[in-house]
Amino acid sequence: MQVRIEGVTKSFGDHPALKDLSLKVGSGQLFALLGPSGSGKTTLLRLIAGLERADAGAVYFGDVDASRIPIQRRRVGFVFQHYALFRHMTMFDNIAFGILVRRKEFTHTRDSLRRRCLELLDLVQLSGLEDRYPHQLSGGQRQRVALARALAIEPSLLLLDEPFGALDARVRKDLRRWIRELHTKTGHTTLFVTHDQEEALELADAVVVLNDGRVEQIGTPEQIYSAPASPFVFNFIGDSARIPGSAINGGWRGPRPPEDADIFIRPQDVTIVGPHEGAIHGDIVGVRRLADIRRVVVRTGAGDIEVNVADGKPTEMGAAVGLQFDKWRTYRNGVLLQRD
Amino acid sequence: MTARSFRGPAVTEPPWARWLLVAVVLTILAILLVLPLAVVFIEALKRGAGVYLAALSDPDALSAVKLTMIVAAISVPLNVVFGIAAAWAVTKFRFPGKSLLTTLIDLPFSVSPVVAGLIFVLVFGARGWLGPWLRANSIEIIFAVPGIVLATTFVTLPFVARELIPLMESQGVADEEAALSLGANGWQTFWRVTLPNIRWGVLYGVLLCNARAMGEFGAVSVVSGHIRGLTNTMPLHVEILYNEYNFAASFAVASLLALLALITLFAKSALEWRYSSELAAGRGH
Ligand SMILES: Nc1ncnc2c1ncn2[C@@H]1O[C@H](COP(=O)(O)OP(=O)(O)OP(=O)(O)O)[C@@H](O)[C@H]1O
Ligand SMILES: [Mg+2]
Repeated sequence: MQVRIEGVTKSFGDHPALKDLSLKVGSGQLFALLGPSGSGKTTLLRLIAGLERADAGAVYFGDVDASRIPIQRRRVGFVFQHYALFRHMTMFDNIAFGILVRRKEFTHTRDSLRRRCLELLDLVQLSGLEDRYPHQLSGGQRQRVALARALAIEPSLLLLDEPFGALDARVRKDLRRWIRELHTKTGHTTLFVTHDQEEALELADAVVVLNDGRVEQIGTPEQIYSAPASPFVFNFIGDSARIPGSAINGGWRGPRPPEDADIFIRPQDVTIVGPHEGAIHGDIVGVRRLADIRRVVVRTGAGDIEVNVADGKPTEMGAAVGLQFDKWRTYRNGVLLQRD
Repeated sequence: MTARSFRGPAVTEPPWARWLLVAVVLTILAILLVLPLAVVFIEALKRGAGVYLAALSDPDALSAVKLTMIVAAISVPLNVVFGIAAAWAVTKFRFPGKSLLTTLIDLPFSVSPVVAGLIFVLVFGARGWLGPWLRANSIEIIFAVPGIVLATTFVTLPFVARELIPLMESQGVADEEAALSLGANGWQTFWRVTLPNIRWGVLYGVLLCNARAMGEFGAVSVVSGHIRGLTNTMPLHVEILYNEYNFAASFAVASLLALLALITLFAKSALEWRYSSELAAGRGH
């Protein structure tokens, strides 16, 4: 099912959480909502699910205005940020809940209901845990049960609010692949919320970057990563440094007056060169070890710039160096000037 | 409170001070609580089991027990319904006058029971606002069972609600929202999700409410009229017998009330021990 969000505004008291937001999610697509804490991601999901009412604008399911569909009949599978599993029910009963309360739609016999629930448990790789209660499961297991419960109602739209929020980095990676496979297998239109850019880029067909209740950019992971539409997106997607300078016809002319344009640059796109070469000069003031690379901090007239340095290259504290920029993006007043 | 919190790391007093404090508290408890309770049973059984049983099987005593049961059987369910409805409204919705409602719920606790009884006499009594109309339709409320039920319900009104409000507040609406999004209607959500989540809290409130409903004296005394065999509840009957110098019988009936208190206390502790995590953390009584 295709979902269209048109000009939606939502405030809590006088605090606007969503500001004139529009978005279209194609049928069967996997979209990531990416944004910092408080940017309105959960609010947007709740609005789509029918748990909040928009102040202005509308949500369309296909061609139908969703505000005409009561929440119970929207068939939206919602996996909540904090799971919201029914604590007094076993895993089995949690999963069966949606089917049991919709007896009219699902004509299950006892046997077929049981089979269906066990099938779903199997799908989320929790076979054998059907008699456990929520407090007897780990965070990741709860998360997967919440997912199975949402899948049980055969949703036309799946909303996942930080589905990997409570998990450690390793398990997150595994679950990420697994969600991708699950999506390929079931083909539900899916929106998932994350504030982990790596997760969004790896997993989604398209990424929506939210900032302060507005859409900053919508695009494929490739577009988001290589052509961030605004300094905010550039910054949010990975480490970066901002260098003020001047630009003519979209071409950057270096860190010199008039400072009418900024370039943004990533640590991997900077090379350390001799002290009299390069576009900008400074001293090495820090060296840090990251997982697979060394990170050198160079203090320049335009502020501290971080540079990735391959192992084996000498990096001396206090050494005067020049920096050569291999790739960058230029923005003026928050708008991307130059593209490749 | 558990024994664990007693030996918290924050305790800085010397041991003798701690023991002194404990001894003082235990002595006061013994004098004010345990001793009177023991006296009730000793006095009741002083003249032997025969007298004790005779006092309890006296028709007036039996009818007092029966009336007390009836009153509790009506007012406790009323309280449960009101308590759940009030707690639901206060914790799951936003509406104007919400804080006023929260304050009003506590009114019966802050008003003297005698005053509560008098309010009902003023409204429903022969010379009260509705008195002439009630008489014209031959409805009896004051000096009859309905008045006793009304007064008891009023006095016990806050018990279930006060137990549930903090509990439901801490649980939030996440479970209900999950149920709705899974397709449950309001009714199904209440029976399958909300009620099971608060069942031990409800039971806890019912216990306290029941103990108070059976033991209420002040408000009931004002509206009952003390008609033996008709409008006498157990506490009133105890007083009548006592005023007639019939101590053995008086204490016999009183011992039933004391027994009720002990059972309530025991059940309450059992609930707290077993389901502490599902009861409200910050309860006020
Ligand atoms: N029920 C509410 N009442 C008042 N303000 C709210 C409410 N829900 C959300 N907000 C506000 O709306 C804004 C967006 O909140 P939202 O929960 O959508 O953020 P989020 O992007 O999901 O953040 P996080 O990543 O921390 O979950 C926040 O500033 C928040 O304080
Ligand atoms: Mg959120």
